[in-house]
Amino acid sequence: MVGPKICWTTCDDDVSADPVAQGSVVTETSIARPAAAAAVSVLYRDAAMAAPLRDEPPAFFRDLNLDQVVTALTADREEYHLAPLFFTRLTSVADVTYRQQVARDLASPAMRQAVAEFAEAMRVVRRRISFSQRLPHRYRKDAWLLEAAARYLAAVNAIDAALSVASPQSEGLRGFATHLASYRRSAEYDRLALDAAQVREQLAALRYCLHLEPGRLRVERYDGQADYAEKVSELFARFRRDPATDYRQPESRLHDLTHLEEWAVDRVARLHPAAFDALAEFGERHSAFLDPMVTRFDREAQFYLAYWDHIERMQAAGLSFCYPEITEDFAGLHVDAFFDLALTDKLVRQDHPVVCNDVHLERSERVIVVTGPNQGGKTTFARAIGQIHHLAALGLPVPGRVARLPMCDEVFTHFERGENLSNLRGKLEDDLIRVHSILGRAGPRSLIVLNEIFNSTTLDDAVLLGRRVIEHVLRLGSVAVCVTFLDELATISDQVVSMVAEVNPADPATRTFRLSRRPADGLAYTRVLAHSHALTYDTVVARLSR
Amino acid sequence: MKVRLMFPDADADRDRHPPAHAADLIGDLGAEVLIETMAGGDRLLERISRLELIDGSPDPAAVTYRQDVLRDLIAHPSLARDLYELSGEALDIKQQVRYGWVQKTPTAVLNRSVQVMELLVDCLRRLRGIAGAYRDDVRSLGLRLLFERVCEELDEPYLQQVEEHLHTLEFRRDVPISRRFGAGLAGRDYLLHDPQEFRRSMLDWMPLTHDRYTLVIPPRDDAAYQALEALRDRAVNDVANALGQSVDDVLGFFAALQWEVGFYLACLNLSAELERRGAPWCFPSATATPSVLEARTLYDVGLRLRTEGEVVGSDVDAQGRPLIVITGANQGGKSTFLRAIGLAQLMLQAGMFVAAEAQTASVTPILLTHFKREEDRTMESGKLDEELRRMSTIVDVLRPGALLLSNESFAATNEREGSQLGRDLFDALTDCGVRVVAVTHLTELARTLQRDRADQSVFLRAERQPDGTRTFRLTAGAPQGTGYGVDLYRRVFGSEPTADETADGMPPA
Repeated sequence: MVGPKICWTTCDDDVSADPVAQGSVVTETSIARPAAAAAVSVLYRDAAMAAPLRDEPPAFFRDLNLDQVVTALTADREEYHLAPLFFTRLTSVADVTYRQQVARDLASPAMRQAVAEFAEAMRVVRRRISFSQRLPHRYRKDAWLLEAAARYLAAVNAIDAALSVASPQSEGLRGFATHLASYRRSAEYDRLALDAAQVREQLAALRYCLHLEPGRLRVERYDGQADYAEKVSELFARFRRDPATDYRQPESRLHDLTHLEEWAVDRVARLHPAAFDALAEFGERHSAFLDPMVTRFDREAQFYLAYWDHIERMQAAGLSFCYPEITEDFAGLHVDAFFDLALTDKLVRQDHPVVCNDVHLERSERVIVVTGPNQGGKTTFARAIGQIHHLAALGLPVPGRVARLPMCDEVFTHFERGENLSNLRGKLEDDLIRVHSILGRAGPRSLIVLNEIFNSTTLDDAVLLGRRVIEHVLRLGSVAVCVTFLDELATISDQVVSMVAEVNPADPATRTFRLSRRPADGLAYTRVLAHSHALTYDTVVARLSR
Repeated sequence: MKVRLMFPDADADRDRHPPAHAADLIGDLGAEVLIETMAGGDRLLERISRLELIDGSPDPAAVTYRQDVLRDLIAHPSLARDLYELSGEALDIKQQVRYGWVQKTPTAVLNRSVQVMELLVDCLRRLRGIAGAYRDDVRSLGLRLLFERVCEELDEPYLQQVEEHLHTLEFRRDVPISRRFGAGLAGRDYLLHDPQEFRRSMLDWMPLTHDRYTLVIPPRDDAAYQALEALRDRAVNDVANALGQSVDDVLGFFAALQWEVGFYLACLNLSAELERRGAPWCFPSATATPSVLEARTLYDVGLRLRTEGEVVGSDVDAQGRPLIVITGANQGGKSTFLRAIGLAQLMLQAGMFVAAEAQTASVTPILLTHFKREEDRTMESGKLDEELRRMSTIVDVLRPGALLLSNESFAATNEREGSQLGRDLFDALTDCGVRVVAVTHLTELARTLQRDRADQSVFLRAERQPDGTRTFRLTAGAPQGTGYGVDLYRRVFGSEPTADETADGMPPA
């Protein structure tokens, strides 16, 4: 008598290294039961309407370092395919508000933990289902399906309980809570719960004997035999000294079910037919038990959780995030104490201090011209404003203590792309073409970020072209941030606001990375540097006259 | 099972780290020769002596406890030797069985442990034999209780039972287990059973019922053999662990026995050497009362072991006085006496005898030395800096009851500054309950201490005969204004130095 060929398969819940075993949320449809109840979503006000999602990041992502942010956000969450959700902006204030409300609800530590635990449970459920589907041995297949169902039931109960304790305020979570309540009352859910409990109980009650002899394996009923290891332990107890070395082989390495053990399982099934018949029946009846709205919630909640998890470290470092007030049309742009999300993540990890900045545009002001020393935080400032506009349109909280922004339909960026000195004319031309294209598409609800524009031409040309571009922007009514070394651009119009990156007067070599709203005066920095090297007019005169 | 020959309630921690200042202590006090004598060429004894001498117990009860054991073993030197050798033999067993590549599978651990334990049982029998033979002769609590435990817990019926189970644990044929179903029908809650519980009557072997199934694995199904082996490993996992740990426990017991008996054996080596040299020793009395140091003819045992001649001892009586200031003639025996005090303190707290005719001393939680460092004489300012930094790290670890031995601290600066530094420091330390024994040349320091702190201080002086020769004996006495450098000069140069050549700038007495 020989068993089938050996099958070294295992389903270890603690190990997620096996990619095949990890069912994906999005593609895991084979076991979902058909949707009966109304669709609910914590991301979209109209759950039934499938919003078209971008699969590729928007063009400005790289310039604003949002690609790094999204990579960090979605790391460890590949199975949820979250990136498209972070690529695609919402288009109405109402949609943004819908998400902000859900985000507020999910920000409470209790809800975050509940959802994180739910997600972990669902991950295990998918892994077990997928494992079950690949198993050839009938009882083991059914047994893993049973384990999946048990974990699923516990997860659904737990998230339901957490929701009723938290009593969420948002439309999105209340909708899901309502769905859960009715799902848990359904006959189908009841049946699943009852069957799972009974079969597990029956199996857990069994104990059986195995005799391991040289070249032979014997199965028989257990008949109350005593624990010999304990007896041995007691025998040697009087030698017990200090905490000892653990000689036990780790459990996981002994976890594999071999064909030898499958043979044993089949024989135990003959000794105890009732329990195993019940198991087989469970497998037939409950082959597809996942509720599609539950799995949808599982994925959508990750959108918020990913963000919360990502910003946690920054919040712990004392940095503020806030829900921006979004206005339909421009009614001022105000953000207090904001920072660059990508850079700050790195700084906080390395325990470096983070400098926050403010920005304010009022009435007819639309364009910020940023000047100041190199490495003074100008580009970071501009990037951060771009990031905030995109994040706000995703319905997420943004870096800053308070924020008010107009609804932004598009973000355009123009960043210097690698120096190419051999082809100056080509580069200027390229710059112009790209800027022209932006100006052709931008409108009153757009944000434009221009970084070191027209660096590749003469000063006079650059001033002239820069002035033209800013005038064009003002005509369009877009909001723009323009980082430049051209002070002249800061005084084009009273719709242009000048902001300057500051230096520490005592030590001009250190930048403060703080930007303040004041006239551009590139000379001030030079004067401070000159003084520290005793090269100002007075000091040079004094030294020369000695 | 515990040895408890050094503490009434625990075994000595053999892996503990010596205090951070141990190297300074050994160097400053010249303790290396003492350790060497105790070791008598045995490397383990050297390790034991080094640690136990430097890191004794701050508990007078533990000190007395050890003194009693040591007295017993001095009376029965062969007992110490027998126990030390038996422990060594037991510890060698593990090496004998552990040849070649050591497998870590439960089955391998189990088989090896059965083998080692069978040999250890024999050692335990011999230990019981020794214990039985000396049981009525020893008087110390430590040895009496140890021998009682050994005789009672390792009685013959018990050891026979152990041997029977070791036989069962060889599992020559059947390994019977039972288990339950865990997730996915994997086994869980494994229980190992005694094969004898499954012995059947002839009737049971009749194929009447279908409640047993047997799979005979075909010879070439390697995978199945491996699976069976894995199951067997899983089955004996716990019992292998238990037995492996028990082997470690028994070996640990013998290692502790070897260590603690080894310590006393090292003490025997020292007493034998002192007796050979005709040098006196006594069991001191340790007290928890603070600031006690009383000794008669206390001498530097290190110096005694390094040289062939007699070493002069001195008396000291500092009842309730936390500060002892030693002044007087150069090379008059001041540093030597400071070392004598330090070594005696170490030996007392280790539970040993001391090099004196009599001694009573407070125990201290920590003993520290701040000795003048000869090596960086050249850079005077750098030296004071080094001194102060070193003193600062010492102050970091000082606490009430601590004992600081200061040998010419602050000599790296001038008399005035050094005295001020010393005065501030010693005042602060003694006010905080730290005991200080200070050898100093700083006359200003000694003088003001005499003036302001006489009731808290004891002053000792290196004697000088009227003809200038030294007795190396210290006597109680107020500090004087000269270190007698002129005497030294005279001995070396054979003539009087001019006034500005005297050691401390003072005119000859």
